[in-house]
Amino acid sequence: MKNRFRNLANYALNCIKRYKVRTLVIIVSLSIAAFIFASVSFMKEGLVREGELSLKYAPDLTVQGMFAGRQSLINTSYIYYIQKTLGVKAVEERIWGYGNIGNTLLVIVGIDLDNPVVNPASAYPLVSGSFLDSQENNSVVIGKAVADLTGARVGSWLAILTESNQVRQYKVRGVFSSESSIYNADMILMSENDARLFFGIPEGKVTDLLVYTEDVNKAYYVTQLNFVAREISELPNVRVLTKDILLKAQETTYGARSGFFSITWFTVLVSAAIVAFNQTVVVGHESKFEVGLLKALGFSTSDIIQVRLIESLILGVLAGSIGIASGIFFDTVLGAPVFRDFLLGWAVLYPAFSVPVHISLQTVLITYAITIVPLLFATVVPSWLNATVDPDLAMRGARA
Amino acid sequence: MKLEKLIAVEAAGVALVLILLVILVDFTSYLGSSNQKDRISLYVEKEYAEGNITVVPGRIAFVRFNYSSYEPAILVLELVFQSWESTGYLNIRCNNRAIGPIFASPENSTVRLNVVSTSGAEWVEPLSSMFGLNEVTFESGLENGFIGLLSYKIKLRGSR
Repeated sequence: MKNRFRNLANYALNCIKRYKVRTLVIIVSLSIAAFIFASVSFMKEGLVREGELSLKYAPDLTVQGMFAGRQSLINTSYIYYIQKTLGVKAVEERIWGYGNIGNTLLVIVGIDLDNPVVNPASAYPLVSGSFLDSQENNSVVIGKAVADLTGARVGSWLAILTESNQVRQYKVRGVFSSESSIYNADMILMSENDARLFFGIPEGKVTDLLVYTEDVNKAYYVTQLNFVAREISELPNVRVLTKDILLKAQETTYGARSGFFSITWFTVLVSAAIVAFNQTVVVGHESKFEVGLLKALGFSTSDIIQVRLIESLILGVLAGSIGIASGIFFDTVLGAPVFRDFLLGWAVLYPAFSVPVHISLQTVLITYAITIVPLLFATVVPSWLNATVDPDLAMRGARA
Repeated sequence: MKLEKLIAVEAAGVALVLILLVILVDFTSYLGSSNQKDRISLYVEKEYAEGNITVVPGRIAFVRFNYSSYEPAILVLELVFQSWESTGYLNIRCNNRAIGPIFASPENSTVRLNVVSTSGAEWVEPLSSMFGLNEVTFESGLENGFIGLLSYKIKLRGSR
């Protein structure tokens, strides 16, 4: 049985070598389909994973102010009520907003440095310099993209003309590491007071409140979180966001964008399957004499079908491997041009930003499946038609 | 014969219009070439001026440089304080807009200032304003002002 399969496999390999045009056409078309799928999937998974990383130190709940259906500043007086809620460990204030330099959108974040709930060293790992000192005003820690864009480095001064046309000067204390590059690459982190002055936010108002719940058993975590969220929701003009909602929003965004690629990929895959079908039919006609001869020598119909299926399997695996390898090369070495811009959807992407890529076994197996299964389906009917031919007729027909 | 004359008149008319157009373009600054070859790419830093300045009270020292692109740029000032008659504040302005005072002292003898804008107003004026002429001024602070010699480098970085 083993020898029989080996012989059939050897014969299938010879066929692959012999019908070069068919082999080339199938491999190229399937590789392109596999490449698009693998590249986008690896990148999407990387982005979702990066999002999860960035939410590692995120608060359990984020409370935002709402006014007329739009997000607005929230009163700090709410802290008193939220802190009294059962299950709440701590509440932090945060001020943040956006700023454009050229075409690059930056995020300016101000945090409470006096009583940090999360250890800044863990939440904001630095590649150089030191973290902000609560005793020192007008100092910032910047992301890698900001450092590269402005040319600022640790020790230099960053003079920023604000929206209100006032100039603010900040000493650059540190630069974030790229551990969670998508989260902090475009960030300028400063004290809450500095951010208040930067954006001109009045006292008693902040952008949002960060709520940390008590440490409880995992089984009770969701129950406690839901209870706290429900209690906070009772406050007027607030919106409560959980970590899960933020993560799902990210996943939905990337999922929707990668959906456009899925349509492209699906079209390419269907085209590849049609090409494979067509090529197998053509080869079926060309190999009529050969099939007749094999059958005259004792090959059964199922042997011929098996040979064709082994051929398809080898071609599918080869095309899948080429597609996966190209996808990894395209994402990691070339930085996924075009795909990256579309998937991230930033106005202008930080060019030196390396796209987060995550290669999971699941995606690899799916990529192989999408190259092998359609090819097997596309070739099984022509193979069967090819194999059921009468040997005498086939040889005479082919000669004629 | 008439046709030849008509063609000649038409050709002369076209030539005249073209000459007038060239003159108009040449003498109207708004229609002048943007010299886009001077555009600074993103992450690229280009030096525009370098030298030494002596800062004394009551006198404004200035440095002028030309920026002939319409692309908004990031201003980078590199200052090295060479001699100290008096440590203190140095007021720096770019195109009459205060960048802010910096404190010059022997412990703070090298300063790198990266000047950006998130307001929409640009620090470095393009060709359409003052024909691309930009000015950075240095002035000793009124109280506790810096007096001494400093060397400067004015650089621009592309922002898009």
